[in-house]
Amino acid sequence: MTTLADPELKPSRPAPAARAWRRGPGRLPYLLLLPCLVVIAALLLWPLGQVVVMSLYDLDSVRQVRGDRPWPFAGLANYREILSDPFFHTVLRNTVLFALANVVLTMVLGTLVGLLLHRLGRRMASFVGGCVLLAWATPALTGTITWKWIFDDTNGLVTWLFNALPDGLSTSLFGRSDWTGYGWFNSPLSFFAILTLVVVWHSFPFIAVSVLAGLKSLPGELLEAARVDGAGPWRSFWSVTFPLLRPVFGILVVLSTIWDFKVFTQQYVLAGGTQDRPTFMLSIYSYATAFSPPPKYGLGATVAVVLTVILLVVTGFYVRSLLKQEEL
Amino acid sequence: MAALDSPAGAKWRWGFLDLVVIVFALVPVLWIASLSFKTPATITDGNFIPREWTLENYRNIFNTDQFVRALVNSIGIGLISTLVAVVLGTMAAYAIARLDFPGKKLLIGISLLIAMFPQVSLVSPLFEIERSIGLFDTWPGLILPYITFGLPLAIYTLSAFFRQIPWDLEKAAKMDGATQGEAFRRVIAPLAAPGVFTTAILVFIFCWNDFLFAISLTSTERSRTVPAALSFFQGASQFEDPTGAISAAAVIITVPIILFVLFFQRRIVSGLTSGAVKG
Repeated sequence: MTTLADPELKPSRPAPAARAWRRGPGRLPYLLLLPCLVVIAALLLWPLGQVVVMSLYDLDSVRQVRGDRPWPFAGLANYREILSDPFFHTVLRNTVLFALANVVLTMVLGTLVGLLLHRLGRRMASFVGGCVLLAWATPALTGTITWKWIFDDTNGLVTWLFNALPDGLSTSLFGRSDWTGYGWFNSPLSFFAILTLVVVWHSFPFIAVSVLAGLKSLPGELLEAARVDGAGPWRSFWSVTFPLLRPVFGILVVLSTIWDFKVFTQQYVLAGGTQDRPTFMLSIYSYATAFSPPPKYGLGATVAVVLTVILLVVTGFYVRSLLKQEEL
Repeated sequence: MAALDSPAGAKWRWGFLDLVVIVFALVPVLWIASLSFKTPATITDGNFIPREWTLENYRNIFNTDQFVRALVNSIGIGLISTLVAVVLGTMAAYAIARLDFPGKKLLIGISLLIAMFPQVSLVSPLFEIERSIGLFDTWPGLILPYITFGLPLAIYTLSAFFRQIPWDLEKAAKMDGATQGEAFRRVIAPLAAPGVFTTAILVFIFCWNDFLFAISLTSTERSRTVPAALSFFQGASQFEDPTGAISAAAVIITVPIILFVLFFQRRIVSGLTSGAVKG
């Protein structure tokens, strides 16, 4: 509590004596923050501590979870088991590759759409922007269900589209002309391709509107000057727009990385649950380890801790770069 | 407005690009809407526009307790979580935006850290805690984790909004003889209201769309929200072909969000981008 009532000590604040009479405001911020801090501590720190505790025990029945049965202490055995499991390495590789591909695709598509919106007239920009935002606003669950139906092997839009191709063309390109019954989700690669489509569809609108907001904040004369000097769109993007918006792009990349690392709903729904082990990524792996029968709550908690540590590192970069560019 | 002074060919090209973007963004939304209006006989015909329109699917789901209960749960849980998160968040954001105190940056950093926290990591401990204290499968059982993640989002968005408010007006009002409370109520509150409202929408969207907590921390109709209930439609035997029912339910939960976005597009965008672009 020593730091509490001493805002006067901050070197940036002039004339400490003149401010000394304002005792009240010195405590006000903390009173306003108190409820928040209490709520966050109770609601976040408790489960957070609990997940670490659980990761140190052997828990494999709901009875134990309810507290009716003793918890056998396992020490770091769960961590050893996870980290030495080759399957964990597959999961980690899936997660990293997926996040990488999705961040790149989301950023490229989002930026292109942002640039497109920027050169449209006011009305058109708000119309196209509104349509794009609908994709963002659609709940992950319903959006994913729809995409799953679009790729349905009998009634799906994509199956229908491929069936509509001339038979000769379809056969020479893909080696088949009848696509009815083709399992789009059967091979891990095509599963990941569709998952990428769904995730990019959900996340590019945010990038687009953020890039647009960034573009609007740029002085128009700079781009105009580049154009007068004969720079094409490609050139003026890389030598004017990008350097000026570098902080924005930086934050968007980190944000997308965090989101794409955590993808759960889209994968759970697209795979129809937790059976499709070859396509597991960290989130669904953690969930499935804890909840799919036979449940292993302790092991699931261990995966959760590992996932959290990885993400906290990435988030740390985000917070740092954000705090750096902002005057609070 | 560069498009205007370019030749007609270029204009068409840009128009075509707009169209591609719109189609990509909207096709899934329109497809599910179309399915929800189809009759069981035509639902598999692959037509984009229903050949026979029907409201049968909507009538059916509103006649099931399963869906109506879930809708009530979704609305109630979403509103309560949003209210609590926004009230607490407003207090904190006011302190952050308005008052100078040590540890301010750290606080923003922590709230960002929490907002980005992987929800899935908290699922198994929450399951354990709620099982042992009897909150499992109750409204508070979902409201509490929603507040945990809604609150940092609220603090962050609100403090960005509050920073843009011309606070000198408050001083001016006080010089004109208003008390601190009056100055706040008459001058600052009306200026802050739009930001608070936008934040409430963002927090509500987060709660409304959540699927992970909803399937993990509920087990019966007592507290199942629509996203969780929807995933049980698929296996439920009371619907012969659940496609129609699922698509109707999906449309119902998507419509409010779409309306928010359409009506408050500018505000939502400014709320969303406050994290990435300096306002």
